[in-house]
Amino acid sequence: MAIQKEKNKLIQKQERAASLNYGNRPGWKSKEASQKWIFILMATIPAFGGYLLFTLYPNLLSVYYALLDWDGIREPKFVGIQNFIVMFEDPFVWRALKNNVLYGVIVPPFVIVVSILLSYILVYKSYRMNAVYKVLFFFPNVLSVVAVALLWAFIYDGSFGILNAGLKLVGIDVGNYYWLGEKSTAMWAIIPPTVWWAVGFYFVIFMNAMVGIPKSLYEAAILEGASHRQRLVQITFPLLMPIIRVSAIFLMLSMFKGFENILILTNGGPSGSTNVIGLYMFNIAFGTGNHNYGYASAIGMFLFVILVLAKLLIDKLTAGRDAEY
Amino acid sequence: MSLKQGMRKTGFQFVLISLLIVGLLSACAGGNNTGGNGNAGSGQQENVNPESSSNSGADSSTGVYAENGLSKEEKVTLKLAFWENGGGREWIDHAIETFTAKFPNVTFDVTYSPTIETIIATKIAANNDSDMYDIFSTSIAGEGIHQSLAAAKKIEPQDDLWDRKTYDSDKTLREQQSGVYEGTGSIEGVMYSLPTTQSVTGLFFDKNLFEEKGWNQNPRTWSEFVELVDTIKADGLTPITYPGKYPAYLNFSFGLAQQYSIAEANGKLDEFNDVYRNYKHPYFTREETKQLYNHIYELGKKGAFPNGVAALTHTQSQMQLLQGQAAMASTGEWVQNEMKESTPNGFQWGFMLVPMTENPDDTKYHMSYTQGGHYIWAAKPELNKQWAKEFIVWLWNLDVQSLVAEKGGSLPVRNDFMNSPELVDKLQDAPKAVMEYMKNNQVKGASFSRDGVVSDINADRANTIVTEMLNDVALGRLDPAATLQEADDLLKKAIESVK
Repeated sequence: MAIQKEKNKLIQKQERAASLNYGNRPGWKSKEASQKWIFILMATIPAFGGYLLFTLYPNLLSVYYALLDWDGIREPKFVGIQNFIVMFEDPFVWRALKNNVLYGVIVPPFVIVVSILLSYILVYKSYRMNAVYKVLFFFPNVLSVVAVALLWAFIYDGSFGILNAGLKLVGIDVGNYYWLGEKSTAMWAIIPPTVWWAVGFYFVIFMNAMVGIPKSLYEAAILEGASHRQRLVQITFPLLMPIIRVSAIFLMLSMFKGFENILILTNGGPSGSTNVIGLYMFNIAFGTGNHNYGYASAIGMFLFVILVLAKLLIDKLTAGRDAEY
Repeated sequence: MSLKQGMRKTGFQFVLISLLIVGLLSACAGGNNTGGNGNAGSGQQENVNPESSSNSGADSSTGVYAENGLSKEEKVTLKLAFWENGGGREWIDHAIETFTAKFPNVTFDVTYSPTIETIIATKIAANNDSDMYDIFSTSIAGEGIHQSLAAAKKIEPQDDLWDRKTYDSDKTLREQQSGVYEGTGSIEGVMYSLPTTQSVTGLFFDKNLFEEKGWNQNPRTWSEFVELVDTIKADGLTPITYPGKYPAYLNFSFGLAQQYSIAEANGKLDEFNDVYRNYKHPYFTREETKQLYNHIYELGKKGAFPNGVAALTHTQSQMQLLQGQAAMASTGEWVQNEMKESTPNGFQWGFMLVPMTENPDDTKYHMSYTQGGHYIWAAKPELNKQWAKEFIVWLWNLDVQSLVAEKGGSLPVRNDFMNSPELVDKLQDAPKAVMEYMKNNQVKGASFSRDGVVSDINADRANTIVTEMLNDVALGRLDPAATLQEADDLLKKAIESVK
C-alpha cells in the first residue's frame, strides 16, 4: 500500500515536472501556444497601434498644447494655465455653451422618442409597406450632414423655401421670413434638421432591439387588457432602457462635439446666436481671426470635462430603470 | 515537426510581425525627417545645391537658359496650390503650359481648389517641408497667419522680383505695374508676394435697370446716395444686398476704404493710416469708424438692406441682384465671372463707390485687392525657389494678363495693358464699369494689409463683436455706439497686453 502510494506520488511529481518543463512539452502544444499569441498580437496591434497613434497620442498632445500660446507657426510659448483663465472669462465660451446646452437638452429626447415611436409602429403594426418605410426613415442618415444642411437651408429660404410656401397654403403668411436669419428663430430652426437626420440611425437600433423582446410579454399584457400606450410605457421602454441610455449618451456627445450642420446653416450667426462650443473652438484654431491652437486646445479640454459630466449625469438619471426578461 | 523547427518558424513569424509593426510606425511617423528624395511631388530634385546649378551653367554655355541663367538639365517639379475662385483656372493653365513649353525641364504638380486655404493651412500646420507646396496662394484664412509665416521665416521675400524684367519686354515689373505696387501688402516693409491680378470692390448694379428707372448711377455725396436709396426703396426694390451669413462682405462697400475717404476729407489721412496699419488705440471710436457705422445704421433704419440678410450666402445675395429683387450688391468685379451662368440677358454691369462726405470733389477710396499672389515656401530646395520666382515673373506676361482679363474677369496688373484701348476692350463688363467709374471720379485705392499683428485674444474679440453687430446695425436694430466703445476697450487691453 505504502509502495503504491509512493509510486503514485512519483508519477504525479513527474507529470508536474513535465508540465513545468516547457522544453519537454509536446511540439503541437508549443505551436498552439505561439500561434495563439501571434493571433492575439495580429488582431490587437493594428487596432491598438491605430488607437495609440491617432487617438491617444493626439489627445495627450492637446493637453500639452492647452498650456501653450501657439499659432501653429511661430515658436510655442509655455503659458501654464493662462489659457484656462482666459477661457473662464471669455463671454463667447459661455454663450456657445448655453447654445450647446439648449441643443443637447432638446435634440436627444426628441430623437429617442421619435425613433422609438416609429420603431414601435413598424414592429407591432404590420403594414404592407413596412420595408419601404424602413428605408424611408433610414434614408436621411445615409446623406451626409452637409447635404442635409443644404437641403434644409433651401427649406428655410425666405423667398423660395417650401416652409413659407407651406405655411401660406394653410393660411399663415409670414412673407419673406428668413428662419435662419433671425436671432429669435435660428437656433430653433437648426433642431429639426438634426432630429430628422439622427432619427434614421436610432430608429434602426431601436427597431432591432424591439424585435428581440419576447412576444409573450405583449400577449400576456394584451390578455390583461393593456393598451398600446401601456405596453409601450410599461414593457417596451423599460426593456429598451440600456439601449436608450447608450443612445442618449451618444446623442449628447454628438450634440456637444458636432457643429458641421451649424457651420453650413448659419455659420454661428446671426450675431453668434447659434454659435456652439465646437464651432467656436474650430474658428479659434482655423478661422479668419488669429489662430490660437493653445486656446483652442484648452477649450477642447473643457469640452472633454463637460462630456464626462454629461455622461455621468445620464448614467445617474437612467440608473435603476432597467428591466430584464 | 521538431521543436527546433517549430521555434524557428515562430521566430520567423515574430520577425515578420515586428517588421510589419515597424513599417507601420515609420510610415506614420515619416514627418520632417523625409529628405529631398522622399518628396513625391519633387522627386527629381537631386541637384538642389545652388552652387551646383551655377556650376553647371559655368561648365557649358548651352547648359543654361539665357533668360534666367538656370540649368536646362536639372529637372524640377513645382508643387503649386492654386485658388480656383470666380476667375477660374484657364489663365493659370495657360501660364503653366507656356512656361513648361519654354522651360521643358520644369513640370508642375497643381492642386486647384475653391477652398485651397483649408488645404494650405493644414499643410502649414503639419510643417512637413517635403510635403509642402513650393508655390501657394496667399489666400489663407487667419488674420495673423501671414505675419506669423514671415516672422518664422517660412516664406520667401519677393521684393527683388519688382526689378526683374518681364519675359516679354525690356521693362521691369516695377516699370510695368499699373499702380499695384502701392497696394501690395508688405510685412515689416518686406513683400512676400507679387500680385498677378487686381480686384476692386464696391456696389455693383444693373446699368440698364438704373437707366430705365432714371436712378442716379454716380452719387457724389452722402446726401445724393441716401436720396438714391430712398428712390429705390420707393420703387419697391431692396436698395443694397450683401451676404449677411458672412457679414464682412458688407465691408466691400462700407468698410476700410470709406474710413480712408472720411479721414482724407477731415485732413487726418496720415494719422488714420498710422492707427490702422500699426494697430493703435483708439480705433473703433475714431471719427472715421463711428461715421461709417452711423451711416450704415442710418441706411438700416430706412430699410436699405434685405430682411433676413443674416441668412443670405453670397450666391443668394448676388441672385437677388440678378433677379431684380435688389438694386445693388456689395461685392467685387469678379462677380460677373462668378455669376456668368445665371446672368439674365440684357443685364449690364455698373459700378459705384459709396460717397461718405458732402463734398462732391472729395476723394473716394476703394478696396484694392492685389490678387493672385503666391507665397514661396522658404524651406524648399534653392533650385525650386528660383524656378518658383521665374514662374511668378512669367505670370506678368501680356498673354497671361490678357487671359486674366478675358477669361478671369479681373483687372490685369500691367500698365501697357491698361493703357491700350484695344486690350482694355478685352475686359469683361464689370471691370470695365470699374474703370469707367475711376475715369469719372477722384478715386484712390486702399489695402487691408497691416505691418504688424496683435495676437491677444481681446483683439479677436473686438473684431468679433463688431462683425456680429453688423447685421443688426444694417437692419436698423442696433445703435453701433456702445459696441464700438466695447470693441475699443477690448482693443486697448489687447494692445497693452503685448507691450
